[in-house]
Amino acid sequence: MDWIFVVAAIQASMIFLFAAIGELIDQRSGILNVGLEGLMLVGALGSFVVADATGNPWLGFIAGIAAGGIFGLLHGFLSITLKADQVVSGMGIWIFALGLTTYIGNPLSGPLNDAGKMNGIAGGLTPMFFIGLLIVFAVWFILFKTRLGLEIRSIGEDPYVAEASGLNVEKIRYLCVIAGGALGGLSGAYLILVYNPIWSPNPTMGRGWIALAIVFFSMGKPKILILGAFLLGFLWHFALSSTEIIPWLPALSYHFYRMIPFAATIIILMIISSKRISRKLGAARPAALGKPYIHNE
Amino acid sequence: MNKKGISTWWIISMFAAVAIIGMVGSVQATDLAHSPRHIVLAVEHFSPVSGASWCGSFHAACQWLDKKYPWLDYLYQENVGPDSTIAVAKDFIENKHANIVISNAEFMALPIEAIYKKYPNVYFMGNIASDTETRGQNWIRYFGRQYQSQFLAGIVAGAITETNAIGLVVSFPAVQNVRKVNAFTLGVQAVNPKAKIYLGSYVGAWYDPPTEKEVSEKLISNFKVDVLSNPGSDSSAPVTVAKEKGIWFIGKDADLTKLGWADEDTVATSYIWNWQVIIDRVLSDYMKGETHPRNLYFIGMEEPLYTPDGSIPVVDIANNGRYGVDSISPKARKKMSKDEIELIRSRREEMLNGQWDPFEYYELKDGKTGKVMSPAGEMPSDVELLSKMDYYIPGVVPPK
Repeated sequence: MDWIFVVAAIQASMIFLFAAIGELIDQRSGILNVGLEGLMLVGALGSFVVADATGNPWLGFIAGIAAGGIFGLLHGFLSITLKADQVVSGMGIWIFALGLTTYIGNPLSGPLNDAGKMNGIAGGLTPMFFIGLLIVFAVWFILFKTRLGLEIRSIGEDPYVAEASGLNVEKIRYLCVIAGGALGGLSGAYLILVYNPIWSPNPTMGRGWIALAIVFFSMGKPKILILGAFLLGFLWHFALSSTEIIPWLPALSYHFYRMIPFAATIIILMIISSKRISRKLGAARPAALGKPYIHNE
Repeated sequence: MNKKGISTWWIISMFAAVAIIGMVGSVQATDLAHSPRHIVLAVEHFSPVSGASWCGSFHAACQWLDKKYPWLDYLYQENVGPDSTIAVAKDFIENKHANIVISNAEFMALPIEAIYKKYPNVYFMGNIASDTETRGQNWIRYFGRQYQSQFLAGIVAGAITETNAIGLVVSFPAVQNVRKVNAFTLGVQAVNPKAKIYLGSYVGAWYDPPTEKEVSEKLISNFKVDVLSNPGSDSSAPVTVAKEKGIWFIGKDADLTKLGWADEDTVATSYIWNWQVIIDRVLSDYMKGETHPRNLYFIGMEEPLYTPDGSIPVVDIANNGRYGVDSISPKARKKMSKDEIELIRSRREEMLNGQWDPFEYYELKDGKTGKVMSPAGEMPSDVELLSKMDYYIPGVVPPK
C-alpha cells in the first residue's frame, strides 16, 4: 500500500462523504431521499458540461451544485408539497436522472477538457478534500450547535409539535432538501472533476446507494458518517489490491471484494431496520423520517 | 349476390391485394439491394462513438467511406446491447432501408443469427471475438490481425520503459485479449527480454471508465509500470491516468493524439484500426450483387485498401496523423536506439508485404506450464488464433 493507493481511496471516500452529508441534512429534517444516486448523476453531468465548455473546474462545481439543488427541490416539491410517498418519489428522481443524463450525456462521452479538471495541490489531494472536511464540520456545527439545527432536528422528530411551537415546517424542510440536493450534486461534480474526469453513461455506478447506507449507519451523526465514508472508500479501493495488501487473502476476482461494500450496505440496512435495533437506536433516528407532513391532521 | 358471396369476394380481394403489395415490395427490395445509386450502411455500435476508441475508430472508418462514396449513406445507433440487436437491425432494414447492417462487437452481434435468413437481400456483418462458426450466406463475420500492429507498438514500449514494468488494462481473460497481450509482449521482448507485462486486475467490461481508471492506477501503484496501454478496454480513462501520472502510454484502436485525448509527451504511438479496409470489400461484393459474398475475414497488413492517395493497411501504428516509424513521438524516439527503430521499420515492411508474422516467427510457449504451444517457424491456424489461444506467454504476469 503506498501513497497513490491512499490518495485514490481518499478520493473515493470523498464521493461518499459529500453525498452522505447532504442526505443526512435531508433525513434530519424528516425527508428521506432514496434518489441520492440521481442527484449525483445530474451534478456530475452539469459539472462536466460547464467545466468542459469553460475550462474552469470551479464553475463546474457551481453547476453541479446547482443541478443537484434543483433536483433536490424537485424531490421536495413531490414529497413536501404534494405529500408523495418519499421512497416512490426518490426512486422516480433516480430513474429520471439516469435516463436524462444518459440521453443528454451520450454525445459528450469522453475525456474532460484538461483545463476543466481539478488538479491536486497537496500530495495529489485537491482543495475539495479540505473543503469536504470543512463542510462536514459546518453541518455538524449547524445541526447541533445552532438554533436552526435544533429546529431542523425537532421537525425531523415531530413536525406537528414543531409547528405548534411556531416553526414553519415546510420552509425548513425545503431548505434542507435543497441543501441536501446541492451536496448530492457536489458529490457527482467531485466524481467527474476530480476522481475520474471522463463522461460515460451512469458514471456513479451505484455509489449513491452506498452513501445512503452510510447515512443510516451514521445514525444521523456527522462524526460517525465521516468514519463510514472513509471506511467504505478504502474498502472500495482495497478490492482492487486485496491480495497485494493482505497476501494471505484468497486470490479471488476483485469483483468479489468489490461486492463487500454493497453487501455491507444490505447488512447495515437490515440491522438498522430490525425492530429490536431500531428501538435501541430510536433516539438517533428522526421519528418522522419518511412520513409526509399534513397540516390538518 | 347474397351477403355471404360479398364477404367471400372481399376476403379474396384482400388476399390478392396483400399478394400484389408483397410482390411489389419484394421487387422494390431487390432493386434497392442491388442498386448502385444508393446504399445504406447501418452500424450498431456497442458503446458511444465519442470517448470510446473501438467504436470511435469504427465510426471514423464509416465516415471516411461515406465521404468517399457519394452513393453511400451511413446510419448508426450507439449503445446497442445484445437485447436490442435484433430490434435495431429490423428498424434499420424496415424503416431506413439499410442494405448492410454491421454489429461491431461479437457479444451483441450473435443474435443476428436468428434473423439474417429473413432478409436475403441484406448483408449482415458481425465482429469476431472468438466465434468463427456462426455465419451464413449473407451473414459475414470479420476481424483483422491487430496483433501485427500491437507487436510493433510492443517494441516501442519495450524500448522506452525504464522500470522494465509495462501495464496493460484488459477487460476479460478472453482469447481476443490473450492474443493481443501475447503479440504486444513478443514486441516488448524483441528489444527488452527483462521487461515484465503486468495486467493487474481484469476490468470486467470492455467499456467501464471508472474501473479502467482504478486498474490503471493500481498498475502504477503496485507494479511501478512506466508504460501503460489498454489492449482490452476502450475508454479514455487509462490514457488520462498516464497523462496525470506522467508516464508513457501506447494508444489503442485509434490515433489518440489526433483524437485530442493526449499529446505526444504521453502517447508514444498508437496501434490503430482502419476498418474501412474490410467494409470496402464487403461494399464491393454488395455492389456486384454477390449472392454468396465472402463471409469470413481475418485479414492482416498485407491486404490493404488501395486508394489514389496510397494504400491503407487494416492495422498500423500511428500518431498525430503519421504512420509507421514516423509515428513514434519525438520524445520517445530519443529513448530508442537506431537498431530498435530499424527493427520496427523492417518488421512493418515485411508484414505489409506478407513476408513475416510475429506468431509464425516466434515460439509460443504457455507461461504457466512451459509447454510449447506453437514452435518457431510454424504459423498457428486462424482458428487457433481466433478461438483457442488461451495461454499467456512467459513474461506476462496475469492477475492472481
